[in-house]
Amino acid sequence: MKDLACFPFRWKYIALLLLFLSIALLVANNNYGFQFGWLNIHVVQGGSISSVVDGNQNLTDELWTTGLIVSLLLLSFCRERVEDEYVRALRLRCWQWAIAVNYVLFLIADWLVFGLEFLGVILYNIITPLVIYLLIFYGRMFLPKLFEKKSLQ
Amino acid sequence: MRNTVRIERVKQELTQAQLAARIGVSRQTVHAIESGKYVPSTVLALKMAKLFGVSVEALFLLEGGD
Repeated sequence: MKDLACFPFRWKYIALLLLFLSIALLVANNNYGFQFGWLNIHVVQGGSISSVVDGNQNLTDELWTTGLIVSLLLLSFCRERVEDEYVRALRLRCWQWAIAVNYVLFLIADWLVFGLEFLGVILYNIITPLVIYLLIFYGRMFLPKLFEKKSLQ
Repeated sequence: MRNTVRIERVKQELTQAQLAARIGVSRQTVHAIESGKYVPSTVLALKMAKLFGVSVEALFLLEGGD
């Protein structure tokens, strides 16, 4: 079977550190208005992308968003210490479940959340497939008794 | 499909971790096989049968619904 995990196991420690730092920055930025001064830029109106914003922008939120996505991607695609046939089969099964669960949650939100709040749902939806995958995968790896008996072939 | 991996492992006085190390898989894989959650590949089944000194048919048995 083709290997889904392409990063070395030790990168997981880097990913965990990056995830911790990104979450800390997220909380500081969202809850306390913390911003890095050196990330202030002036956006000039006129470009196709920059036309939606004009004036001074701070890129602190871009920094934690990038950190969050990169760390979750790394965690999802890092190999286990022993990456054998069961782990590979489990990964594939967990990706299928993560995508299915993610879209069920998205459809529920589609009917229950309206207006600008729905923009938040779409933003969260960028990371939810990865978060759901990681929860299912590590749950099944290290807490197998929590999950029902179902054979993988 | 049911299997006698746990019985054979206990006969050989091996822990799940020791068996996993001998056949080159993770302890979670041995646990999944023993609890019937995972049916191993032919290669892994042959490795286990060789280690236990039994045939694959003695280690893995088809059930009615298979």
